[in-house]
Amino acid sequence: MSEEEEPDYRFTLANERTYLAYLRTSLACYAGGLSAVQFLDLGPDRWPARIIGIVLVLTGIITTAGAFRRWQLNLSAIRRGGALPASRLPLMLGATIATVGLIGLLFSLWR
Amino acid sequence: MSTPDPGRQPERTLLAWRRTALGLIANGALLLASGHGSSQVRTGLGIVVLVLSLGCWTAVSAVYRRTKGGAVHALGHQHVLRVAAGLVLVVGLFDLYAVITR
Repeated sequence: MSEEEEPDYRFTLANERTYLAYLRTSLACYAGGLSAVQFLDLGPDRWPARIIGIVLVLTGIITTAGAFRRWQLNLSAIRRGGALPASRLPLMLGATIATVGLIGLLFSLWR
Repeated sequence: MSTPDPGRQPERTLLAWRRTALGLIANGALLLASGHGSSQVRTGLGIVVLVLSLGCWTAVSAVYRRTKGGAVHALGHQHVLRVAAGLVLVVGLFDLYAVITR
C-alpha cells in the first residue's frame, strides 16, 4: 500500500471521462435496442426486432458493469504507476455492434 | 488548482457528465414514447427515468459550480461513479423490460 500514491488529477479525470464514454455507449445501446423494437417491422411477429433489441440492451448492461470494473482497475494501475490493464470490453462491444448491424442490414435487404 | 490548466480538464469532465445525463434523458423519452397508449407501466418508467436524469444533470452542475477552482476531484469520488453506474444499470433493466413487453 505504501507504493500507492495519489496520481496527477488530470489522469484521474481522463479515466473518469473514459468511464463516462462507456456509460454513454451503454445508453446508446439501450436506445438502439428500444428503437429497434419500436420502429423496425421485420419478419413474422417482429421477432428479429425483438432479438436485436434484447441483444443490444444486454450488451449495454454488460458494458455498464465492465466500464465500472475497468475504471477501478485503471485507477489502481495509475496509483501504482503500472501499465494499464488490457480489456476485452472494446472487442466485445465492436463485435456485437458489427454483428447486429449486419443482421439488421441483411433483414432490410431481404424484406 | 494554482497552476493554469491548458487542457481545461475539469470542464471537459463536466461536459462528459452532461452528455451522459443527456443520454439518460434520451432513454427516458424513448421509454415514455414506447409506453404511450399501450402500457402505463412503460410510461411510468419513462417518467421516472426522465426525473432521475434531470436530477443527475442538476446535481452534476451544482457540484461543479461549488468546486470550481477548488478540488477538481469532487466529481470523481468513487461513490458518485458507483451511483452513476447504478443509475445506468437501472435504466438498462427498465429498457430490457420495455423491449421484452413491447
